[in-house]
Amino acid sequence: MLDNIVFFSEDVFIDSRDKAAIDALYNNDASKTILKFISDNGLEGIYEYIYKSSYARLTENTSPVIFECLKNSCEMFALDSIPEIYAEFSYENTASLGGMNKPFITLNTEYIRTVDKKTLLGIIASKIAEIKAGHAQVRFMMWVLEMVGQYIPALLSKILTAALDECEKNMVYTSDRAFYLATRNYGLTVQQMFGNKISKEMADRFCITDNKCGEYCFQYDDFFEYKNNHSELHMLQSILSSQPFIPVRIERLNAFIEEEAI
Amino acid sequence: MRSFVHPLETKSRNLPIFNKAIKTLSGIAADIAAENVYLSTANRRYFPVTEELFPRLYGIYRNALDALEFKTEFPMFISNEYKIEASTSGGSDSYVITISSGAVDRLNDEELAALIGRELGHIGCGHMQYKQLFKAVKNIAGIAGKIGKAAAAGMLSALISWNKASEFTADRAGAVAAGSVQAVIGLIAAQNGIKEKSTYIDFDPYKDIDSEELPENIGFLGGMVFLEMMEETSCQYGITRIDELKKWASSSECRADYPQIYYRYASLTYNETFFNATDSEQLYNMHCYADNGDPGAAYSLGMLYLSGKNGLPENIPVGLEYIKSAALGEGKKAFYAIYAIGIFYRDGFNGIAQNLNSAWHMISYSAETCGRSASDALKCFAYDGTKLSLNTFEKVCGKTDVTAEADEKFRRLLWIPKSEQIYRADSIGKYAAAICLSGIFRKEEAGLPLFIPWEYILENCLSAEYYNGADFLYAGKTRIYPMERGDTAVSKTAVKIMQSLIKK
Repeated sequence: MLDNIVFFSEDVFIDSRDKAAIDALYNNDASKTILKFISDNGLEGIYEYIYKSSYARLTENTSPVIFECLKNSCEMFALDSIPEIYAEFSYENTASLGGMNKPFITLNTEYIRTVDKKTLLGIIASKIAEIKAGHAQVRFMMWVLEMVGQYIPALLSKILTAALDECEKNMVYTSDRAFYLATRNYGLTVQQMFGNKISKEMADRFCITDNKCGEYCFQYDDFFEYKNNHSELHMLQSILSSQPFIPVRIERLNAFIEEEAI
Repeated sequence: MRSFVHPLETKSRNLPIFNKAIKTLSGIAADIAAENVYLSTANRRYFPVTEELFPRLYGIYRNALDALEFKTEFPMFISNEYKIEASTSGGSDSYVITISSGAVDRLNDEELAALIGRELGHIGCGHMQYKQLFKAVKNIAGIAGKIGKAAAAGMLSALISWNKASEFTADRAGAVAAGSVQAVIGLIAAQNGIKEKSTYIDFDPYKDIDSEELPENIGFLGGMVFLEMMEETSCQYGITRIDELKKWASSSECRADYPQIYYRYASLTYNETFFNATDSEQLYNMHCYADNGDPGAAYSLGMLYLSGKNGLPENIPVGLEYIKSAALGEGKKAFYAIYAIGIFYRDGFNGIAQNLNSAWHMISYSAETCGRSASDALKCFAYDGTKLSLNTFEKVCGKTDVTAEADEKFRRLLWIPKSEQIYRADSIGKYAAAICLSGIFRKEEAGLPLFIPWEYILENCLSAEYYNGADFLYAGKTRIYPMERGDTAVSKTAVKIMQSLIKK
């Protein structure tokens, strides 16, 4: 699939905001407490056990195309050991990270069926970059808080939730960069941002091309015009979504591409 | 008395801590009351499965009831749900089974029987009273305050262990209802979303954890997390359940109690005992399954008749008939049969005239499934001392270098179906062509696209006079693609393939 795999250093593909948020999380004593809690209760082992006993692992033998994407992505983002990859039955267009110290990737089956090889490479590459950036640990902490938050002191839980929310908001920037670097296809990267929000068919109609957002440009411009005048939008974003709005992601990706070109 | 209850379930139920957990939780009646509400409202929310409304499904249900020796028929409903799932509600001999519309849409008859059989297994083995308590187990958090976390953790662990074993038992019931463990495995694969073979994934469960063991030292919190997470899992313990089923299907207990399941599984897995069957009971079963269209049994019997082994007389016409019938079936053994027929065509065999084109098609089509690579399959064409083994189609074509954009463009232009993989494609002026596994798709000027299968090209071989310095590449009198510009990707590859395949 890739004749010459280009290697990217962490400085290139990890977004500075993402790195800062994760550094801040680990500088917080609350994260040490939750990590000890996870370890004391064997939560990672349980998580891994349920996946291994319930979901089908995709291997080089059964899924050569996926495995090739996985190997190439690991090489691209210098991840030493190839993580395991599982399939999960769902119609949602999502891929996710699981585990903590031994992270693995989960791809939804309907998603796998509907995307082409290039998109598949982009998705897997973005997950590998996320592992390299330490997102698996962050996501695992988020999952633990959601599951057994009631057994953790309330103050600790609130401090952690705030730090983890900040991480979650910034993680997508690294993911977007990695998708772009792996595919070198701007249109596809932007389309992917719509991933689990609208169907691919609808996303195709935005006519996003290699170098511009096509029909979506109008919405994109409207958003920034509004954003500059109304600070309520920031508040709304915090309430409605744990991720930045798509125009903000596009803006950040554009800045990265320009910076990279320079 | 024959039984399909998994021994781990019997063991779990006999543990004192399990009984203590049941006693403790029995005080919580709220969820059981909720079950009764469900019962009374199901017929207002869902479609009932009756003979008039859903004859196919009702027939499958009736057969499952008979196979599991149920005297009572329980109401069954279809819920509008994308997932492939079924559930049972109720208690005290009054149950309702609900299956999802996703299951009805996506499963074949045997898999549906397995799905329904699993639910009947839960009912028949008395799981429902425990399952209801299991739903109430979240209240164990409150109980932990009274009896202590260590005791609550012990109870949780016992319940989790029993719950897992109850799923093993239900799978066996599913196999009994469907008459095959493959149906349950197919169901689990479908629940994992990988039933149909896709371009990117196939199902090959692996095992690197002990199917009967749970993670070590599940504490109170670990147990709660375990339950929460399992509840969100679409196919609980799916992979370990497959492993357990396979063990059971090849066990002496299964052979004694459910011979039809044992022999059917054996016929599909090349079980040595089965393939070396000499006793009349086994041979009788093989004939029954083969005559009912089971490709595994038909293939095995066909091979035995061809070779005159295991007490069967050598009877080539009968053997060939069984092999042919296996080839018309589905599944892996059907591919084995197709491969075998390919070999007969290659060499010519007792009434089957040598036909290299048919041999090439059948062998290359089935080779991969039979555990041979395409190049191995083409080694079969090393006839008359001409060695073509290394020059295989795949070796010549290599992996496709057609970009996604070009792929889309040529598919539209040349009307190439999605089932075809394009290996090479290009266009010159008003000509366009693409090389695929089944043949070459090409278009000239304003004409309609034309598909030229390899079979035709093989019969009308390219010869040197056509492709050395000529304007066009030909197969017989059919023009394939311009040669005048020298190394066009399509012409060059087509010539290479032909050079590899044609007997020199």
